Amino acid sequence: MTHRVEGVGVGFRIEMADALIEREPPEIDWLELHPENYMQRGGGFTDSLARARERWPFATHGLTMCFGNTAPFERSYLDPLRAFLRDLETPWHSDHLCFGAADGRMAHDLLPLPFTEEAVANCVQRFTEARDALDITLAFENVSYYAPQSEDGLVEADFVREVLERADGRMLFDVNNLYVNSQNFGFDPLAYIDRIPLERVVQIHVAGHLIEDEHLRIDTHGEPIGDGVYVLLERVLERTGPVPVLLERDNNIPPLDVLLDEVRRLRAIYDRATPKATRATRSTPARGEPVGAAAPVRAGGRP
Amino acid sequence: MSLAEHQRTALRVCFDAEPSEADLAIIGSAERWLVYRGMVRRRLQRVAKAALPRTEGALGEPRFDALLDAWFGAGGPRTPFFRAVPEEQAAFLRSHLGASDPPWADDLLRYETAQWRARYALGEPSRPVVEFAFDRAPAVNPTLELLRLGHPVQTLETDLPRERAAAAETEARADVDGALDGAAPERQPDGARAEAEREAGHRYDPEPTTVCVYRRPGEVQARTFVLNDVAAALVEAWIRGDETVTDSVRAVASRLGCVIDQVFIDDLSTMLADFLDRGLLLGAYG
Repeated sequence: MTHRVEGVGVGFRIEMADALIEREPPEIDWLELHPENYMQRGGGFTDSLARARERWPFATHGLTMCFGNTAPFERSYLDPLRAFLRDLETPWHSDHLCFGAADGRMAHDLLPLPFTEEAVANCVQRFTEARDALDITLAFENVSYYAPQSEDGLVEADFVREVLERADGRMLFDVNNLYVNSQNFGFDPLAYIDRIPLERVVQIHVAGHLIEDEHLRIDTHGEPIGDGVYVLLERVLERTGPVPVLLERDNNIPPLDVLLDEVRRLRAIYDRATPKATRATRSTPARGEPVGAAAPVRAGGRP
Repeated sequence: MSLAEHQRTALRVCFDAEPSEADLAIIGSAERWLVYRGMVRRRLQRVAKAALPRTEGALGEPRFDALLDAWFGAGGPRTPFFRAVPEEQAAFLRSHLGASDPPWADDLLRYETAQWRARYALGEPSRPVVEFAFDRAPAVNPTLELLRLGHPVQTLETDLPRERAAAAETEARADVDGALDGAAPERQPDGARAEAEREAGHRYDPEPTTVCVYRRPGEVQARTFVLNDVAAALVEAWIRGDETVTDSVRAVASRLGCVIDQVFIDDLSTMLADFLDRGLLLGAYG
């Protein structure tokens, strides 16, 4: 069994679990799951996870923390999450730079933050609080959004960088989200990448999106990865070096062989692009944490 | 506008019966925030239809959707766990059923909610379990819920064609696996159970029925088992977990006026063996 989250992985979804576990395709190096689907839960999900853990290491990607929320965290959520992450021995945990609740009402969706100083300060405070509570390397993901938050779409990159640096945080760079936003709001995604401190990126997401109309692409995770996303991924990996890449597919999940075709294409890009990264652009530790693809599991975790 | 007010406004746009012009004006692009409104509501409607398909069939889609709209207007979900959203929806629907709704709709909501819960409930007993013995407290399957229904709404389950049940199971599994990064496409569940309920077309006559809903160890789907009065009383006692099998049998027999004779003991032995075989009982607490 591989003990590190590195290379190319896929999102672990119940619809594909049986096929994955039965075939153990060597193309897949690691898996990612949403803790909310497994925490405090029994039944088929838990059984599938136990079987998959015998073969693959896992990283975790939350759906609920939304670092832009203004309400305090619920201990009834954070405490079991911490226990779950420890048990799973995930090298890091991520959630989203967005908001998803207000006054106790949950949207169960990822809503865009205004790119304001107040939002930055709020995200930094909540991110730090969550990291302390979970006692784990914590990353946030740049989200796709559809309602413009500024006239210049690149302001989002400044917002992301500001939160990253003030919180001394890690980033899950969602390349599909960047591509979708750049198409929806007409900015240069390479200029966005230039503004992001890539040494803080611990993981990358790619996925497919739906072209609703000329001016609206929606991040569905239900389509094949678009060519523009593949190209952008290569540009990012040439800068970051071997940061683990995850294929997200949550809807319209195809047969495993179709998914593996995408994984193989991602692998080819990964193998081609990552050696081009110069040593200077690769991850450097902060807060005394190991980062990036070489991150070992926590002390007391897997060898 | 403060960040908190921005977020409150966005949630109103998503959940209010009609988003106000004022909210849409201050939050930014009205057109695009209405996209969010549609995404948020569709996701939550979808999980309701996946979890409560027979209720939808019994109420009819327009009525079911109208009640869901009312639930949105009342604030929408409070739970951080997507899988628990249907329980909140069902609680709201139960409290808003009207005289024109089928009298068995409340039973159906309770039954479907119990089935939904049993699918993901923790299955590990909280205490160590040893071999079953009459002088120990029996270990009841932790996923088990006992429901006392006024109508035998469980009967359709047994009539549901196997392929249709499988389709319903698949759609329910897909929808509870929350994956909120992606805005799910417009695809709706196939509605196999809702269709089955509509096709059944029959009324459920009032008939007190006690069922237990549970998930057998190692399985994914919920199972249903109909209990007679004695079995129901025993299971209730065992769920409380404070009596040995012998004590609970004596107490229940006394309360229900049963004579503990050889026939009773033979029936009890058969029932206990069956419960252990079905996974309703897991053994006894040590």
